Amino acid sequence: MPATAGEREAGDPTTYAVPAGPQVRFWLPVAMALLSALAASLSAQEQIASARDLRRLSIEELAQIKVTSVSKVAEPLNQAAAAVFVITNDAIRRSGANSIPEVLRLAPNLQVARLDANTYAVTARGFNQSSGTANKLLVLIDGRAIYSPLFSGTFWDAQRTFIDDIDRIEVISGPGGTLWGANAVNGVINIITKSAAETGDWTVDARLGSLDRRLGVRYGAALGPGTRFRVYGLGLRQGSMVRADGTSTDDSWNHLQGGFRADRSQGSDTLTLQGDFYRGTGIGRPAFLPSGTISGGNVSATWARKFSGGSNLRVQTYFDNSRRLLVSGIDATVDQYALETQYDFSRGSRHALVVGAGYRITDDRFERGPGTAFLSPDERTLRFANVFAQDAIALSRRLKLAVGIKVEDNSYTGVELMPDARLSWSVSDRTMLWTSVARAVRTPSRFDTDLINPGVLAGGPDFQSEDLLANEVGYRGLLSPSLSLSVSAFYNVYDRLRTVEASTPAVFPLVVRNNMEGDTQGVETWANLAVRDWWHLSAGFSALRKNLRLAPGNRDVFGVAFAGNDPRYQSQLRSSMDLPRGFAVDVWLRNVGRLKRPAVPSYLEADARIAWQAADKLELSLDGQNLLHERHLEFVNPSILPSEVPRSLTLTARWTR
Amino acid sequence: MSSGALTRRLLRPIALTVLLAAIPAHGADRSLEYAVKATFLYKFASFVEWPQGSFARESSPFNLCVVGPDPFAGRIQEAVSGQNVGRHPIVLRQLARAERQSDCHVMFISGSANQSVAEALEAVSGTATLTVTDSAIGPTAGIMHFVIVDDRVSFDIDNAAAARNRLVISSKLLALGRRVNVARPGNEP
Repeated sequence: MPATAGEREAGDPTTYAVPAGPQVRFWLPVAMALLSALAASLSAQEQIASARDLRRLSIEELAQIKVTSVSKVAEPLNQAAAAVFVITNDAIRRSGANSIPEVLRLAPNLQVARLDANTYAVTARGFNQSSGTANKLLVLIDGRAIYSPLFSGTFWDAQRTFIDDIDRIEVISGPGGTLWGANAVNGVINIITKSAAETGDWTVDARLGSLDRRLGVRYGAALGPGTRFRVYGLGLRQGSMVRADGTSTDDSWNHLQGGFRADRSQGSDTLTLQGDFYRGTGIGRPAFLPSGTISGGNVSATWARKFSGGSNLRVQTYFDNSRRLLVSGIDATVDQYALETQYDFSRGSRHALVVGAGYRITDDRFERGPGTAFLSPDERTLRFANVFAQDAIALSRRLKLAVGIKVEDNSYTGVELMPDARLSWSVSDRTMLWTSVARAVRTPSRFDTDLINPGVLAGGPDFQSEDLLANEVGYRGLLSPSLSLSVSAFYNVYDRLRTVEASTPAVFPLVVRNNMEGDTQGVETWANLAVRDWWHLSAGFSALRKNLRLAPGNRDVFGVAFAGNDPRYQSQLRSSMDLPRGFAVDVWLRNVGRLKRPAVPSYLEADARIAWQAADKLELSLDGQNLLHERHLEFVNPSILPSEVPRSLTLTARWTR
Repeated sequence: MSSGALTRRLLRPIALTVLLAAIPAHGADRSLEYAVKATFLYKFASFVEWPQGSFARESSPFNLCVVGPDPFAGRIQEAVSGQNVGRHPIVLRQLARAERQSDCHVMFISGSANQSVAEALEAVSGTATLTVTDSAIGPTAGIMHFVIVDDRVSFDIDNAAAARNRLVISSKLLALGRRVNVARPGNEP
């Protein structure tokens, strides 16, 4: 091959206008400035690049040429026998969202509700919690589990990153225990950032809004052959929500964060080192309950090797520290240390295997405030060890069966088994059907077993793991070259769900037990349509029905509503248009059904965004969020006054080099 | 929820789908996309090692085959004319079906009523063939599978499938594509 590769610098612009003749060459400077939008609107003749001209580009440069394509709709179609929705970098940018939970609203298979300026309730397939403590979802950022061992849920206010660096977010609804471990009960959110090799030299992202303000700067450069790094810093101020009477909730937050990532690739080895450090402070009235200071940091190192036989080894270790100091006097610190390894290989032409093991230690300290509940013991070290294996077997040309099991040992309940079987049938090249049966568990957390409030609550000394047997079926296919559809349905059978019960013989103190059971059913579906190559529509819908009951012999005091407050349906529709002269227009409608206890009415909201590629490296956009109402309620935490989300406008400038 | 209400809610997405499907979606221009894909097809060759004996002589041709309808409309010929892989001149061959004896070094499979993509992949499984498929055609993936990511042509690489066909893909190419078959749910086969 002629050595045209590698002669250009890595930092070249990411779009190339490829000269097709003298006429096009004349227009090159103009095309460079406007290409991203013009690519869609120019006539075919002007846009055709001859393959002969493309030959002189390196393979990396080829991969950087923008092609606006109807086959984009084919991209979310992967072959996983699971309900996977992928949020792409492009979709994130076009949503205008500036926090991870806001981005997650893009996934039709998640339920996202905002409780106050800084607290979100996020779940899949139900069981969302009024205090923002949904506990059946596993969340990872670049392989690092970010759920808190205090309550097996995620403190979303502590999870931020330089949003532009997110490559994609894979949202898997349904159990993922076999590969991902305990707590992947109702879903897994896998946030994957770009390699430092894939991010450019400079990005500055400044947002000035009626509600939030944000400034983010990221710089990247090479560190010798095969090695590149990036560093980022961001500062943001999240504005207060409003009460039903229109007054401010005074719960705004400041957040400062910095981080880095370095990737080194040498032969068949890849090394990644990354970390983040943050500090957030509530700046509203100190009487506001969750207000206080959060701080923390993490460092992660990953080594991956590709062997010549096609097998892969991956080893990751990380350390994560987080601290929450609340005005109520509670001071909670958690340190996590983890080592994980995974090896995948094939045997014969029919078997693709993965085996792995992991070990994780969490070390927490929980200092109580005056008059508040506390954890007893106030310090605890927990250990989690696991091994897992999965074999994906090609039964025939079109039929694949994946069976696997994870064995996890935890400090509370000992050994737990999480088996999983998934069958997929490629009916045709455009149609796939799949079905699965899996068991998943949520192992106890500190709040289940050790939370004490003298005379009121006496913890859950006998609390066991919550248990799920999940059954799923799904369809994924291309109905036409420009229309893709995914439908999945589930029937989940739960056992030993958490209850809070009266003690015998007196009612108080209450104790935490496992006396709820029942089933849930639902569907999740989404479709992508390329109406034109410059106009894409996406629609999503999910419905959920819960039949929970208390087990015989219970002394429950809260009832089944305690297990979660979930809408029976939600739907969304997004339209993305690339218009001439560098304009892009996005409109996004969301409809969420009503919540029962505490009651929240159903709502319809709309976001709209108009973006203009003002220059080659500068994009300006105006985002309107929650435009349909002056304010709307999404969720209620009964222990604090409800906060409503106001309408807001944001002006964003994004400069890249 | 009453079963009637549930039915209505379940029907809503179907109605939406029918509505969306009714909107015609023609007129999309894909010429640049296919020019890029055609160029990738022969550039892949520089990053792949074929096993011993894949070429009878040093000057034997490098066979680049398109099986089924050709979505490239002449762009491959344009891309490869006068090009070599090492010392092997590239020869473009159009085939109706993939056979075990097709003797293709790179095979782009578009599938037809005659032979689906999966059947074609099966036919050359275990032979020293770099199979290439296209997500614009369907989800059935060969060793290399073109996808569009952020409006750019990218590809999924199934390195296990490459190993089955005794091909060694360079780490540079592996780093450029997205790995599949690494068995985490988002990527598993």
